[in-house]
Amino acid sequence: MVDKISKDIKENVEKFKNTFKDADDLVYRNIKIGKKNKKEAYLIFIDGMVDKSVISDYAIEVLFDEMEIDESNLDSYKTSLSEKISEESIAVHDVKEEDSYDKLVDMILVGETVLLIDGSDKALILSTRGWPTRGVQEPQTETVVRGPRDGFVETLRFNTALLRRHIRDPKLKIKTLQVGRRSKTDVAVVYIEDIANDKIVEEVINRINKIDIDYLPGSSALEALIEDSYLSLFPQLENTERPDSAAASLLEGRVVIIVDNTPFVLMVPATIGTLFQSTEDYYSRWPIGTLVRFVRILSAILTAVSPALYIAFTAYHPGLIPTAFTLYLAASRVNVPFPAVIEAFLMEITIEILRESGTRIAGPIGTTIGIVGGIIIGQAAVEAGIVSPLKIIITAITTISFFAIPSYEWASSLRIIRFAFMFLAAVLGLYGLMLGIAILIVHLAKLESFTVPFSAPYSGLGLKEGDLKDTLVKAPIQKLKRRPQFTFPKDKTRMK
Amino acid sequence: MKKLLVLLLISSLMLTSGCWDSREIEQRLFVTAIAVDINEEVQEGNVNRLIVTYKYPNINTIGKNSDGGHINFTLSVPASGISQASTAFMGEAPFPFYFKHLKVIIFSKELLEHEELVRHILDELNRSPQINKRARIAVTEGKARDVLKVTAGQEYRTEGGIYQVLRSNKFTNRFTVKSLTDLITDFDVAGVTIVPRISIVSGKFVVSGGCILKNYKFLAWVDQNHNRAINIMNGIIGLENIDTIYNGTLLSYAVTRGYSRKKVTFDDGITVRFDIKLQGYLQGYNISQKNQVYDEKTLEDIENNIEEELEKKILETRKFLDEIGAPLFGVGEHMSKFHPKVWKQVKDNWQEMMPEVKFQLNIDVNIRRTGLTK
Amino acid sequence: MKKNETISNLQIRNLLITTVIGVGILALPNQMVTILDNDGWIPIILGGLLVIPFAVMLDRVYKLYPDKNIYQIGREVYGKLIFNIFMIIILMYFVIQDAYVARIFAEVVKAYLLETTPTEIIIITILLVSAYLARCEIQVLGRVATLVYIILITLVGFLVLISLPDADPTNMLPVFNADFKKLPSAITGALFSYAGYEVVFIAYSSSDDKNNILKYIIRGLLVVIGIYLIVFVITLSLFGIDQIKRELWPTIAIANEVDLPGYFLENLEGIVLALWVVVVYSTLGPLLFAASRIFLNIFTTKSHDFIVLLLIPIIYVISILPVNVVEVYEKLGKVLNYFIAVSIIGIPAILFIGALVKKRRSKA
Repeated sequence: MVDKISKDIKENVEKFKNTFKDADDLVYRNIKIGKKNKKEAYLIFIDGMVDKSVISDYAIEVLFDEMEIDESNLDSYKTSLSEKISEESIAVHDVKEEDSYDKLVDMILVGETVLLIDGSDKALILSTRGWPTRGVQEPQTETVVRGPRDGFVETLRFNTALLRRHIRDPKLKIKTLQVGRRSKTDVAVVYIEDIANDKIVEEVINRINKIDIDYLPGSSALEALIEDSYLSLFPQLENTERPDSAAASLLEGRVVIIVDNTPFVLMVPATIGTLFQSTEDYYSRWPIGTLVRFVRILSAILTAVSPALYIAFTAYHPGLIPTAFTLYLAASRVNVPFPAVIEAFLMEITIEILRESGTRIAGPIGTTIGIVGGIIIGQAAVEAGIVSPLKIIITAITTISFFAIPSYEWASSLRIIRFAFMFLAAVLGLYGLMLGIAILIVHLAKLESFTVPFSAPYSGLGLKEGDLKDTLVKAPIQKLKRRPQFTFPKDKTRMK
Repeated sequence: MKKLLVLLLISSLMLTSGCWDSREIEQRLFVTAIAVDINEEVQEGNVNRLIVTYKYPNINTIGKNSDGGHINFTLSVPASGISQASTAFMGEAPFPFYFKHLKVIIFSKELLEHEELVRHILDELNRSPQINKRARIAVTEGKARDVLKVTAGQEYRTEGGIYQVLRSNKFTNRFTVKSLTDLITDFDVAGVTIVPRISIVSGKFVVSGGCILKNYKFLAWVDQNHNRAINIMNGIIGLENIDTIYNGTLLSYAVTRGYSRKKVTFDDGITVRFDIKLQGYLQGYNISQKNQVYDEKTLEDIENNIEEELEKKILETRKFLDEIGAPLFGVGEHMSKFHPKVWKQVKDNWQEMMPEVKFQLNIDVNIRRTGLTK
Repeated sequence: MKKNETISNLQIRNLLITTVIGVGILALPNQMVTILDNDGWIPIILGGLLVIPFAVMLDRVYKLYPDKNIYQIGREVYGKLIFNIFMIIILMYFVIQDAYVARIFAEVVKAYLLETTPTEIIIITILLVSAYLARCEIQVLGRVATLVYIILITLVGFLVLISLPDADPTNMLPVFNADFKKLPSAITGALFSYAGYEVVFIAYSSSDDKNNILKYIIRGLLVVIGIYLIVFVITLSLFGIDQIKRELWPTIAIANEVDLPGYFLENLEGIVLALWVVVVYSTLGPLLFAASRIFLNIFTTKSHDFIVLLLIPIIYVISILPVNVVEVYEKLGKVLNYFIAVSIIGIPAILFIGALVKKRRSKA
């Protein structure tokens, strides 16, 4: 049984006051409408969540000007009191009628204002949402040299607007869901109807609907709740703060998930190919884009494998590297008291500690300080003879390569893998490292992102259709006539 | 819970059994050169018939923190084989030896007179997965270990000066570079091979000329000129100087490039036609008013002169090789590939037939440049 | 069928290539040259071509009974009992082949990478990691195969590049000079190197385009022949015929031979071996997968990942039976050859004939 409000306003107000006991930011504004018959009315809203000028100017002031509220006139019009008022006497841009008590409570909590009228069994919901919010700024984690500088904000409705600015297509669908028993966070699932594959959209909506949790902190929590394999080291969704990235992924046939209260939106499905793409590629010329993509792949390999290779070659197989290099390596390690394995682990752990302490300091500056500090400490360590200089260089290469990878989550997974590889190399040398790589390959092949294989396009899906043109290299835009295949888009052509 | 157990099991397996092959890189001794001599003082029944010497770099002298000591160390010990020596050294050397960076192997002439020792050593070198097959071979008249000792003090690069010299024939034609695999292949294919000769001259080492080995035994020494001729006939043409007398004065010609090909015909016995084409520049003549070489006729003349000189030298070498019975011009190999049926018939008698083979030398020398002056 | 329950034909082709190319490639030049001197390339080509008719036969069997997988067809044609016997033979074949490959792999790793590590540890580790792959579904195997295919091609390309400066093509001569009476034994030797292609037939029923599978299988076989030929040519050009006859694993020795001082390239066998570990891994995984699948179908168990774990100890024990490398090639190799003859040739032929006969009979 839906709990309805009664016609008696005093009863209604009491009910609200009871529900919101000890919530002192609720405002109960008592007004009398009508110059002649003076109907009693209440406006209920939460101070701080509403745009107060809308209430004062477009609700209260207009209602005060109302000439008369006379129920006797109503029958001839066959309208209800609330309807008449909403249609003729309120200047707020969006007004809805509602009789369910729970719904009214929800609406107050979202920042709307409830207008109770004595004698009416329906209340009016005035759209008055407004709260302190950040203006549109350039996202700090994804900057480009040449390109737009807007970024998503924390308000869902503004974010959807930013998306619509890029895609003015009526086929752009925005489906809103709510997640979280207590947080009731709005989650919007955005897709382009005649491009995105129905099954993927369905899968996304189903998974979100299945969530039963009391508070949704942000998009990373949502990511963990709906991804295929939350235990895996690798992210299976992409995220971005940039509307242009999100819009581009929509046009690839992907689904964008916007979560209220966070500027990071999710893009689904994600694959290894997409994780190496960055917005910068699309705003520079294509040869640079291609070169940069190769550099990224190289960096990913370096950051995962360099320390392990160092261990393998110094401790196990000095015969596998050229002689001059071997002798140099031996010479540089002559007075170092630690075995190569310990040296490697020490340096890596030191860098991790430095990185972590760097994040306590504000922004990217902190991280830079951390890394530079690391290198200085490393230098001191070399002077003191504790670590070999080559190891410092390797650590530096490893760390810097880490930052060349566009997706932070992906890079972080590689960090962990780096330690696993180091351990394997310490036990079984190069063979151990290759075993680790074999396991990694299988894991990547097994991983799926919303029914799309994660290792596409390198593992088969999309190879024939030319998906590599936008993942491994960056082909000029004239060559990218077809959409990438991995999302199974319905409309395959982009350009003629 | 099950996953935890499995993880524990696997990690304990790895940690308790230990890392068998791991050895810190500075705790290995990288042998860069080996010398093999005969052990004269050996008694009957003792298998240690060799004296093996290892040379390895002193890593303290590499790089920035060099302590300026000896760049290389050498260690000698009686042993029965090359790798066996490393066990003998266990009492002296601080770390185990590592052979993957071996660059040079020097044999003494004395050693090469004992065929089965040579065969034993070569088999050991071939079979071992640890010895670098690209090591260069050289032979010395005296004791091989003396060569290593001499060079130990004077080298400026850790890989060794000998290796740098023996590395490739690109810059010189006075000896024939031979790596271990080349040596073994040569013995398989033709039974004869030529190896650089290294000697000690007033405290320094010199590589010049070569040593001919036949059927795993020492055959003869050759000097630089013969070696050069052999190289040219086999198609190894490095930077080279050819000196002739032209018009009564010395003329130097420098070879930069060239090729040499063989063609075998069978009309009347076996005839081998050698096409040798050399390109180079005029290096030195005689500075005077009337000796200008800047016209075509003079150059052609000079070219012919050089060609004759070369032909003379080559035929001299051929006579020498025929006398000692060392077919080193690669004719047999050529025939085994291009005329297999004929080769099958002659190969057992090849040594006797070699002198009967007619040579047709077709040498073409080109002076491409005359330098900056006329 | 949902899109990600199928395996694409391209992936099937890659699966074939990466499964077949495992340890055979190492010794192939040596084995061929020992029998036929410089003409060793002939049995390589002929051996590969010989496999094609059997692949065609199996394809026809599938076409005769569309939408049935191989077990159903087999049971229909020959009855449960006889077909189960066939399947047990094939199961043993896969198990022994897996053990053989694992053992040779361990020997190579011991020779070049880890001299004192016990062989058992190397075998156990590679088997466990292969188990991880074998427990997955066929789609994952297809994807892994495509990824490893890239590595394989890189490896072959790398070998070609580094051997070019030192290669002497005249070492290929003389041609057509060998004793051709020995050709049949050479072909049977080469045939072994193509073993493993049968794995694709287990993937048959999951393909997304059944009509064109044969085309891809043949393309895959041609690629394998091509790769073997390239390796043969390089090793022969680099080493010459006599050294190859001595060298146990010429393919790896190529990397050993390279010495380009100007380019700072020495001792490259490390790279070759590292990449090759992954290639062998991509052979062991699918073999184990196939074995467990067959087991599943004979004894109708629920899922094959449990069976994989069951098979590993058996494979391990077989792989450590031979005492040294010689015994591996001689004894285990001989046993394997019999099984190959049965599995590559015998059973496809029998199935095909049986299926044809049955269809004819049912039409009549």
